[in-house]
Amino acid sequence: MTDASRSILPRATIPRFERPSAGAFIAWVIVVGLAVWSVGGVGLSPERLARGLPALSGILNRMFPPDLERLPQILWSLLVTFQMAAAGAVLGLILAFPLAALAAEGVSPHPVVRQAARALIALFRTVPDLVWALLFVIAVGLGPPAGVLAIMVDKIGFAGRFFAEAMEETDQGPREALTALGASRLDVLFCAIVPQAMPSFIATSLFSLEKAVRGSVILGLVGAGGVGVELKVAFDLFAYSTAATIIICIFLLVLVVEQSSNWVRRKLI
Amino acid sequence: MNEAVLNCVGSAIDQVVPPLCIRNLAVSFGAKRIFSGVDLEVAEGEAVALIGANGSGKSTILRCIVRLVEPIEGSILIRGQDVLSLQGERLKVARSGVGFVFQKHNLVPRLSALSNVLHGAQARARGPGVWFQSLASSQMRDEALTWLDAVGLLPQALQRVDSLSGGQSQRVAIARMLMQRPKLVLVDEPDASLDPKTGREVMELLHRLAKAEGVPILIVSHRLEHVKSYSDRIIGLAGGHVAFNLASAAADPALLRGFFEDAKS
Repeated sequence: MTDASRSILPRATIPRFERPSAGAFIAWVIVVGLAVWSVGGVGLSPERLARGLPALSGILNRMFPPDLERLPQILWSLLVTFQMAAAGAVLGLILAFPLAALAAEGVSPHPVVRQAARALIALFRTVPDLVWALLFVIAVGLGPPAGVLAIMVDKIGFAGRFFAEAMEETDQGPREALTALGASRLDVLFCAIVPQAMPSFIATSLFSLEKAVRGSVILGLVGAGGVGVELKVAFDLFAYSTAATIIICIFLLVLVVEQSSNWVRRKLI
Repeated sequence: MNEAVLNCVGSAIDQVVPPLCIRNLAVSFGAKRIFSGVDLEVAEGEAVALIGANGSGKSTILRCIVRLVEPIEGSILIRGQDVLSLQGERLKVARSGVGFVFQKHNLVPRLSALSNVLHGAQARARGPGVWFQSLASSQMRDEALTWLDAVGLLPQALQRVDSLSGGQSQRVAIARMLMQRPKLVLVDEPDASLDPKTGREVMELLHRLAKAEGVPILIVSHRLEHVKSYSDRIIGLAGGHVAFNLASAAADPALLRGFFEDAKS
């Protein structure tokens, strides 16, 4: 670069930060205002947190050392929790695939079908799994079957959305090539779309399983079976040292599932 | 014989219906008219090159033939059948007779070369047996391997296509087209993304196989030497219309060169 060309660059006038537009400034004010208003609205204050610390410390003191007396029952409940999560996730993923195909643009046979499938996926996704669990406890009674159904519906909503997006994002070229040679819609789906979307399908499925394992613990709190029931009973009876054992077991289960999932993801994708 | 067919063969009843006959074709994308009044024919066993500037509508004409693009006017007859009037299963059957080699290969990544070639059989078979090579019948698999051998890629049969070179990918796409057993072949700039040597090899292969099978072929290409060497007739598109339609042997290289230069400018 010559000296002459250097001299015409207005370096001093290039700002380090851009001045926000009026719209951006108003948006920031709204976001910050909303956060302050919400924190104030729920009554969360430093004084209240400070007052709660001794109580928390008391519970933690009573939790340790963990009580291992009920460990065999806890491990059995943990196994049921994992089975609930695995069964619910697998059933949900299987049912999510056709629903996602019906909801994906360019794959769905008709716009009305697509909108209906999208609405169903949105319903499954937006209603929390705890609410589904309450409904299924009423429908099929207390115990793991209600939990499996709740996880299944939640995973249809979760995976259905991501499966549909993965299908829509596949390259149009192979789809066009197969359409041009007279392939059916089903042929195009399985030959051109599924292989391309497979890495995304695998990632979503593994994440669904992780999410199901974490979620299945909570479902026990409303009577949908598994280790969550044990945890609720332990807290209800103020058996905090037993609760500590349960929490440690849940933590280890989630850790093992997440690490296994990461390993599978690295191997397959 | 309906009016569209008569437009192609004339009034004489003993005249042969050409494999491809396009009359008065027009395409618009929104308010933009791409071309109009395009007449084009490809005779049995003939190789026709379609040339023109970028955006002149060459590729769009090919895509209209298999209904990937819907024209606003005109008729397209494949062996006397008006493909623009077809829907559903009858359209799939009509498409199944037309092989299409795309500029960007349009293979399914993550699948093997053999599975991609097998997909060509979807024109005549349905279901998992023509989805993946591992599920294919021995007969289908053997046929796919035969075509891979014909394009010189038998050793790469189980290699994923996204690990192949551009030239090898285009060969797999040609093998997939051959697996289709087409009655008419459409080729959209198969040499565009390839180096000159590989591009020439691909064109040579296409020409040789199409001639060996006796299949008529409509080629879009931007390379003058390929247009001259691998076609019997050259059709030039300019200004949204057919500018000329000449036998390749009679086409003046200077005229073609001028046309290509005009097209580039």
